[in-house]
Amino acid sequence: MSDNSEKDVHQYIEHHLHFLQVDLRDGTVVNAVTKDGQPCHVTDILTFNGCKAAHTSKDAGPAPLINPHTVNVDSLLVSFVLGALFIGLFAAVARKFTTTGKPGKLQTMVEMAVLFIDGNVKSIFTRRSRLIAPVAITSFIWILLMNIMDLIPVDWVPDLAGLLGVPYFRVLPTADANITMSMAVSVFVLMFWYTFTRKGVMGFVKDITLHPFNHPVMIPFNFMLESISLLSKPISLGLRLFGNMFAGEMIFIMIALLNTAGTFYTQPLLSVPWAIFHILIICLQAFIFMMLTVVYLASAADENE
Amino acid sequence: MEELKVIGAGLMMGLAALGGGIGLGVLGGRFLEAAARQPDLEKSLMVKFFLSAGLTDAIPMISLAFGLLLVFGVF
Repeated sequence: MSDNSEKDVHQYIEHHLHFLQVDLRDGTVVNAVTKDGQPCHVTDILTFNGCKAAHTSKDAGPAPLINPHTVNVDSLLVSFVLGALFIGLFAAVARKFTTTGKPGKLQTMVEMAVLFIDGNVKSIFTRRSRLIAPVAITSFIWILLMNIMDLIPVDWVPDLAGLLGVPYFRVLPTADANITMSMAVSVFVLMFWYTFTRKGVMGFVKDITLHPFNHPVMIPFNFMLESISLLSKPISLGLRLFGNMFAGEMIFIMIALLNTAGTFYTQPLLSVPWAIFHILIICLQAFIFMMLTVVYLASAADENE
Repeated sequence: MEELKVIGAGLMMGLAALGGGIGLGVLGGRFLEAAARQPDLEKSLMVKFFLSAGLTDAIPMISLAFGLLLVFGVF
């Protein structure tokens, strides 16, 4: 591989892994320029002025991992659109719900989804709660819809965005650690809400100090053990989804890289089998996120534990 | 430094694949054994199998993602 093509490869990967980030301080798009070389502003994109990606050189040092000033607009946009799609679809079906006569295909599909979630939630969360089933179905269907975005061929959306003058666009929100971690943090907050309302504050304190070994001497040890296991729950929940979807997307990108040699058939030959296998991971990860949410909330709400 | 990063990423991904492979192999084998002994339970075991397969798969996948990030990504 010559030096030039190596640079191309690196640029291709960097372009596909770059989010459409907007700096909130001055409204500029990170790492992008307009046609005449000025820093790209949000209004340039909204007025179809046309921006293109401008890669910073590696010598400038890596971007900071945590950056409170930028917002990943593409992940937020796609996830909001898909959330609205889910709520709109299910609400429309629920409003037209009929028990007499033959149900339509859409109603049957929604009914299947609801019954599937209902059965799984009932087998794990044995107490009464009006919140748990909506949380479960929202997380399952929403994550499923977001994960399905991975099956769109990797070049379509960034190229289409490039034609419209948008420098970067990543269509898979669950490959953004911000999205998955914020969902995990929401589950974490719900865990505290269930613990405090069902067991009270004292119940929570007893939970984390007297749990494995019920003896006053062991309180510091118990506290350390229980706080680690408590904190590891949201971290593993969010990183599991992120890791799976990011790795899957990365493999699609690497398969696409094989095309640079001028063999147009290598990409479909490899990415179609991987996409078919990936359907399993897409459904499985959405299912696991939903099940673990229910399991964690059930253990947080269980007074006997 | 760049070379060390690649070696580190290779170790991360390779060891993760090793562990994940062993774990999923044991899990699948035990599932088949249990299903052969109690065919009635196969359906409820299937759900638990997929759940634990996802849990087993998680840590290797996290390691794989961070390995790929180390090579191509931001660090």
